[in-house]
Amino acid sequence: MTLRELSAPFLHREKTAVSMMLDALFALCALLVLPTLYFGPRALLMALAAMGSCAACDILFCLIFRHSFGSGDPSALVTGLAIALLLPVNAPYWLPALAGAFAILVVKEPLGSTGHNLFNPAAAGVAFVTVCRPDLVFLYANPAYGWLPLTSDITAVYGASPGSALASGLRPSILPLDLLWGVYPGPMGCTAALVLGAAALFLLARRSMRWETMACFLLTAALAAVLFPRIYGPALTSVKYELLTGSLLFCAVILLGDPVTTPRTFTGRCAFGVLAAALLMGIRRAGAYEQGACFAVLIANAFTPVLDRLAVELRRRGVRVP
Amino acid sequence: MPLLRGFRMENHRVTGPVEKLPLPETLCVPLPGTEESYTRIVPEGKTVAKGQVLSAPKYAAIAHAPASGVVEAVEFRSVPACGNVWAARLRVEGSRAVRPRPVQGDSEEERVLRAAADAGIVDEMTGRPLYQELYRLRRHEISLLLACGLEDDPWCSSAWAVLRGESEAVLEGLRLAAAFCGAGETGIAAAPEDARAAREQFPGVRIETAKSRYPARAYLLRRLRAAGTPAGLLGPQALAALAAAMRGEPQTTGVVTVSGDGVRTPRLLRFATGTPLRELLAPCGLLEDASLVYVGPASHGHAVTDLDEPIPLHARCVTALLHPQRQHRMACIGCGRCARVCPQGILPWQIHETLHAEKVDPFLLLNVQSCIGCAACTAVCPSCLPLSAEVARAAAIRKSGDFF
Repeated sequence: MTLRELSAPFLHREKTAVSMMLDALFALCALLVLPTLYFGPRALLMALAAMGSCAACDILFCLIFRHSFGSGDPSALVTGLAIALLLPVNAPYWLPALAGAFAILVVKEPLGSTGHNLFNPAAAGVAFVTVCRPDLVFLYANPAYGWLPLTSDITAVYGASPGSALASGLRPSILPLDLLWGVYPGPMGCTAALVLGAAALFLLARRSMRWETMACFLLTAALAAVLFPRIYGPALTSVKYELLTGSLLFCAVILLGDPVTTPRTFTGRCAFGVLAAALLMGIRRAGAYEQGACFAVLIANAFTPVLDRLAVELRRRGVRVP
Repeated sequence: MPLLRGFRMENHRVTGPVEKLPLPETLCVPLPGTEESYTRIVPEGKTVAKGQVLSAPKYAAIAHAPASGVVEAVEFRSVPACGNVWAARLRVEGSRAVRPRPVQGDSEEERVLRAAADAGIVDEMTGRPLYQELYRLRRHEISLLLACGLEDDPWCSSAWAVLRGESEAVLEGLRLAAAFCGAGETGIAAAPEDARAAREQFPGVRIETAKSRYPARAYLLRRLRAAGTPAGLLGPQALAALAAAMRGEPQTTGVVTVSGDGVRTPRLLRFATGTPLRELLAPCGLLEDASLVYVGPASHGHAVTDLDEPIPLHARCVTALLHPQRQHRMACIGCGRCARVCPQGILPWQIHETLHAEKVDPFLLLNVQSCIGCAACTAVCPSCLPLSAEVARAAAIRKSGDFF
């Protein structure tokens, strides 16, 4: 018998960092199901391209800088899948691969890898390709036309996304059920509001995500949609289209659910949610692109240490903040 | 504010009577706190009687011989839950015993203090001598003294077994200790699943229940303090030993739960201090493929690799596990669980961050002195960071004043 020399505590952990990442990966895989049904295996290939690029870059960086890898850290896969789901399914395969490479090689690893990164790598990767090729990023296939070919030459299946309609002050006309199930042109994983809601509930129930950021984010976004509507009509219609279309809901669940790049204090997280939503709605109103969620998340990420520091400073002054 | 505070701990209770473990051939009695040679008054190479004083340390509890025999050697060795201490190796023979004499004193207060100190009683909940704990509780001006039936280990059930088995002695000890501390009221702290049995067994005694999430004791004390009754907790073994000490009997035995999925039959055993772990684990059937044996509660116990090491008085449980969870250390991912679980409102992730900065800013080490060392933050950390050790280090930095 060989007894091991371990250090206390010997309690069984409910959650490990790896299991939290696997939860996120599972939620993202659930988001991949409906696009596969609508667009065929091309959706899976897009996801594979992004995840493969992220994993390869992660391993490459570790080899070059002689870090250890293969310790079961699936964060690169989470980043890759999130990137694929934020891009249109009809984009060329090199687009998610390029976004993944940028996310890992420029944003994640140089800032100190898992646990140290300031900016959300997936948001940064998508923001990079948005700036480089907005023509490809905002060209969405319409799910009504059925499965897409696996090759790159896709013609005449495009549809106008509700984002572009909202940006030009028009009211998109989508049936409520289609809006919930995501049967309209848009980023691959961001359209199905019902699946996103289920993913959020799953992550909350597994305690892999905190509710404060998401709640503050959605409330602020809804408030902004009521106060400054982009379309004429009842306020609730504005709220419906602003919240359910585009990548807002995906950002609220997946990108803001990432604990590393969001504040660690309760107060900080609430402020972060409000800030991100305000930035997002501002970018939607005044920005040149129809989707600005990734930029809003990146700018808000930069304030994460400041918000935490503010909360700690308040505690130091004796203010009782959670 | 989170609805559920604390760390959920599974619960594997051992029910059954406390069995007495037969004396082994050799005992290795730990003599904690006897770094100075003159405090080790054990006669090396000579015969000692049962109950004879072996050490007289300044700040630790006195050690008594648990059986009569020959002191073969006094050696410096590692004892789980005590660190590296001097220990007296005793070959058990004969049946000579020191005759117990009731404690003398003018007032009851004096008699209680003398009994606690002279009998070498250790409070098993904190591992500190009982007389020091009594002083501490008196200084805190508690108004309610509770016998602690709350466990802080998923496999341990010694506290409740002693409360059930030696209820009269515990209640007597509780009365004496409360008289010394100036606590007007006494009671029993029990886990929710034991509350009903406790009410039946102790009619007319105040029963306080705590949620079974770790650290239950800290949450209970905090709740009582907020309700205007500052309370203190003492271990039931120490209280029972205090009642016996008034008759002059020293504390030389303790109750331990030998449990875990690495033993065939979990048992509650009464052992003599200094019994080798091998002798404790043998009657319970230690499995051949057990890979971890630890002494003390899971939150801050000590893993043992050599089963010949002796067991100290205040070890409440010895646990053998087949498959302990692997600890894979990663960077802090910022989930904030440590801050949510902390009963004292410390932000362990922030302490971790501050200590790992290029220059430690002592003014950012907030609130670290109030750490009670429950190690709940380390237990919940998904990245397996040693947060409680870091908070302790931060407290040491704050205390040293050596900032600049």
